[in-house]
This record gives sequence, C-alpha cells and structure tokens, in this order.
Amino acid sequence: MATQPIDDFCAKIKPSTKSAVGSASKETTAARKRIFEAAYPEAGKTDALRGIANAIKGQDLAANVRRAAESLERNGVKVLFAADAMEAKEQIAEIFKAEGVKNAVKVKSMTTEEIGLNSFLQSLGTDIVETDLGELIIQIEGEGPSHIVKPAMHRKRDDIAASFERHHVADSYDDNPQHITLNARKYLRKKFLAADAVITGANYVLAKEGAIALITNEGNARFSMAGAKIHIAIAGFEKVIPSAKELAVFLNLLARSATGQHSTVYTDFVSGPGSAKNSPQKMYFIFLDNGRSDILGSEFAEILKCMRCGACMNRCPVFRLISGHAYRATYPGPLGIVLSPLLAGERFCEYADLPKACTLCGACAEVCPAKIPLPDLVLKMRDLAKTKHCKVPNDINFAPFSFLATRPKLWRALVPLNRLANFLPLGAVKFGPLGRWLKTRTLPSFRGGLFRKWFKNG
Amino acid sequence: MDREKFLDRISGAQKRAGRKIPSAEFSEEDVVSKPAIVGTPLEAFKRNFKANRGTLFESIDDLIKFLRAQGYKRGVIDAKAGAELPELAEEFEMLKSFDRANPDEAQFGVSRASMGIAESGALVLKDCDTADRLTSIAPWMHIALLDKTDIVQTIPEALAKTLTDTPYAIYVCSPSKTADVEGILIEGVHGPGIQACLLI
Repeated sequence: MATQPIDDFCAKIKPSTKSAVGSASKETTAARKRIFEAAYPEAGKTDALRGIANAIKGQDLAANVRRAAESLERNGVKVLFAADAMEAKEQIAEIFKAEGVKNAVKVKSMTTEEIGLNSFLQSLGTDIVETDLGELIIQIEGEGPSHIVKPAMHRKRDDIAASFERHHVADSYDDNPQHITLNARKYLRKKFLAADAVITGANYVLAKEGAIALITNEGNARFSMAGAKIHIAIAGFEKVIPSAKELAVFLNLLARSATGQHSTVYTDFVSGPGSAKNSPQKMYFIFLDNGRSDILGSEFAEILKCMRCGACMNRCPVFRLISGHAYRATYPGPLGIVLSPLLAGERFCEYADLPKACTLCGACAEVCPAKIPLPDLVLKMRDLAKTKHCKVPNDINFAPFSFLATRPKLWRALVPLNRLANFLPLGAVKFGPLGRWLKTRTLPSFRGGLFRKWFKNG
Repeated sequence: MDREKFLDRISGAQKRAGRKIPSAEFSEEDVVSKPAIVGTPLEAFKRNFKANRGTLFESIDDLIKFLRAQGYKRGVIDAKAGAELPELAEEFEMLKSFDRANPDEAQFGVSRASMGIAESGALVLKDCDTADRLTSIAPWMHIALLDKTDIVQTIPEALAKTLTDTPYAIYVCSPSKTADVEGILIEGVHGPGIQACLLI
C-alpha cells in the first residue's frame, strides 16, 4: 500500500528548507500584527475593516464583471473571456502571433502559474522571462512557487548564487544578497527593454473606472510597462470590485497582511494603452473562469474572496513545517487546501489528502483580511472528499473511534487504558500501514486528567 | 468564450447559491489610519515619506549638495518638467530624453509628481504629467518634484482623483525593494535605490 503523497514529501524535506520557511513565516506573521496595531490602535477597527472587505467581495459579480468589461472597452482595451486554462493560453498565443511577439516579460501572477502559461508559451518558441526576483529564481530552475507572495521562500542564498552562475544571470558566483539582487537588476533591464509584450495579472479590477490595479514592491510592473509595446493582463473574474472607492479598503489591508508593510512600494493603475512615451500602445484583458463559476455556486464560494496575501499560510503551523511544495499545486497552505482540489476538476481526488494537512486550529481565519472562514471550508472539503469516495492511501479506519466516541459511558470507562500507550513500543513499528504512519508523526505521552482542566491552567 | 455565456455562468452560479448580497457601505473614517494623518497634510506627508525611507528635500540647494556628495555627473529630466530647476543644468550634464539603448546612462532622473498622499507618504506619478515613463524607474535615483498644494490627506481622497485625467498612474511609496533572498531587505531592485522628493 502506498503512503499519502503529502507524507512522502514531508519525510524528505531538507532541514534548510524547514528552517527557511519556518522563520520567514513567523517573522511575517509578527510584522503583520505589529503594523495593524500601529495603523488601527482603536479596538475592533481592523476586524471591522476585514468585514467590509468580505462584504465588498460578496457583491454582485455578474453585474460588476459586465460593467468592468464595458468600461475597459470604453478605455480602448480589447477584452476577452476564457472558460478554462487552455482557452486563455490559446488566446494569448493568438495575440502573440497576430502582433509578432517573440520576447515577452512577465510580472508575477498566480493566475498565470495556475494556467501553466510559461511552459505553454515556451513550447511555442516564445522567450518569456519572469521579472519578479523570487519568480526569476525559481523559473531558471524550472520550479513552481512555494509561497504565493514569496515564491522562493524555500531557497537559500548559496543555492541561488550557484543557480545564477549556472544559468548566466550572473557572471560569477556571488552569494551576497545585495549582489544577487544587483545581478538580477542588470540581467532583467535588457529583457525589459527588448520585450515586445508584457503579461501581468491584476490584483484588482475596478468596474466603474475600467482599470486594473497592480501591486509590486520591486517596480517590475512599471519597468515592463515602460519597455513593452503590448500589455496583456489576465485575472480570474472574482478580482472585480465595484470602483476605485472600494480599493481604499484593500490598499489598507493587502500589504499589511502580506508582508507587514503599511503600503506596497508601487501601486500601478492601468486603464488602457499609455499616453506617455515608452508605454504600451495596445492593451488586452482576459477574464478567466477556470472553475470559478462552479465554486461561486457551491458551498465553497467564500474562497473566491481571497486576495492572495499569504497571511493564512504564514500563520499556519502545518505550512511552517512542511513548506509550500508539499501541497503539490499552485496555491499552498490553508488557501490551497480548499482551492487546489476545486480547481483540479476531474483530478479532484489527487488532492483529497490536502484537507488532512490541517489541525483546525483556526489561526488562518483570524488573520485572513477578507475574513474567509477557512477552517469551516477545510471541514467541508474533508466531507466532500468522503462524498466523492476518493481513495486516499493509508486512510486510517476511524470506525472503532466513532463507535467509542458516540458511547460516553464506554468512552469514560476506557480512558484510563490510554496510559498503556506509554508502554507500547510504537517506535519499533517500522513496517506496515502503522509503521508508515508513525514515520512522520510523534505521539505525545499520555498524561491523563481532563482536557478542560489543562486548558484552564494554560 | 462568448461574453454572454461567460456572464451567464456567473449569474447562474449566483442564483443557484441564492445568497443575499450584503451591504458594503463604509465611510472614510472606517478605512483611514488615524495615527498616519496626525498633523497637517504636509507634515503627515513628510513624516510618512521619510518613514518609508524616502529622501526628502525642501530646497534645491540641499538637493544639489546631495547629488554632488553622491558624485553624480549626469541626470535626465523629463520633458514635462524640463522648464523647472534650471539650476541643475548649471552643475550637471542634463539629458533631455531617455536613451533606451543605454538605460544606465543617467545616474538620476527628475520628473513631476502629480500628487502626494499624506496618509501613506506616497507620490502619485501620472502619464498626463510625464513625457517618458523610464525617467522615474530606470536611473538609480529618482527625484519627484511635488507642489506642496498637491498633497491630499487620505488614500480615499487620492483614489477619487487618480484616474480622472490619465490612463495610467502609479503610487510610489519608497525605494524599489525586495526580500526575496532569505527575507533580507534590499533596496534598488528594478527601480530606484534612492527615491527622493523635492517639495516646491
């Protein structure tokens, strides 16, 4: 019998990855807390703002997407609609063909990761270069992102420096982080200015104004849009908000939640082809569905309110230990547990082990800037995996447990027997389903007494 | 996919779920960070811009001293700001336009800021006040000329005035930065390593 894929991954994680992911996640979580307390010292204000964000994201999407499309067109943007990943990729390839695009640069976009855009365009012979430093680091090694905000969170400087030298981003090995960044600056400058087209996502689409907001710290969005002549933006339709007025809520939540900054360095507003010199003369916008309308009509609709800040994974005790690649999909952490199986469509069961990588501690829901009830959605996902009869390797048979748990008298009578577990040679079980299960888990020793009592005493 | 079919999928899903659309009303008071706007808009802008590690100049003499101390020889001035600051041309070689073949030719770039935002300490650069986007992003140092009367107090006020007269605008809070290598903060990734503002 095979083991769960997530357990296989965990058994092989490098200690350096564990420490890199663990410490970065903890630091960002602490910075998030500090910055919100500084910005909104009034009791309950941050919480109320998160509630407003949730309500804005719960507005009539059909009406707002229609309005956004009409406004974008009024501003001279060519608007396209893609039902799924394949259609979106083909639409981009067609634009490239019609416009004669050979070289393109990309500004970090999780949506393009989700549809697998880079490998598709490369297979058609287009040179496509990631311009966010973290994305460049993983692109040249053919890896996917391990975090939605910090894609190269799992990598260490020596390993990045060696990779830059091997792939000719740098002339020689240099692992000083300042020099790594300077080498990327020099390398990407040429790419920005040689690019025929730039591909971006959109953090927000403003329906009334017909504009997108792009949020970066490095300035790669502005530089790309000062170099390329054609701009293609793609985003899931759930990124539409009513107007610029509502953006104030998100600009005050996103950077604080994502990186613990008051504001992200650059917020680009693009509402069509540019009027300045060295700016794109044509702009395309693609609205993507790719499973989203199904999610909107389901009990998982709340997950579409996500603004991709990464606070849930930074705060997650499981993510901190196992890192993003353990989730085997574009979106890791608590967000990914809910979203990845849904986006997988017919391959749903391949991700049915993900909802188990959760302790239901609820910390993610406390930090989510859109107040998404993540633990509830995780429970619903576990239920859905059962309803869909997904066969998960090494699934533990809980029938004996549920038999006891529904018979309080029998349960109480048997509790003292748990003490026996302390004397069982569990460490010696090296084979069979139990051995595999125990390989990545350590059982605490049984101490007895009532949980309620421990809880009261801290 | 056809637009109507695409929109039908969304409205069909909304009907299927049958959820009520919540009220999303809010006031400026709900959003604005009070500690960030203490003082006059000018005072708050200066405080927040500096807290973001921006370099602030209140006189052209201070700016020239700084440029001299950096050892800079050559700058580029955006055509739409060209008539301002004739003093710079007396001391530095000032290019009138940006050479795409040589993006590192100018050590600093000067252009106009359309607005300043006190709450976030951000500069707003608009296409309608900028002849060439590269001036503000390619050189190591960018100097934005900001008229003190163009400072608004809050982010909501700025948003109401952002896209009214231009197809493209950008809020710039600080030097370009990253923490992609082991979470260590590095300034000057693709954009300026020094983001300055000269108040006029």
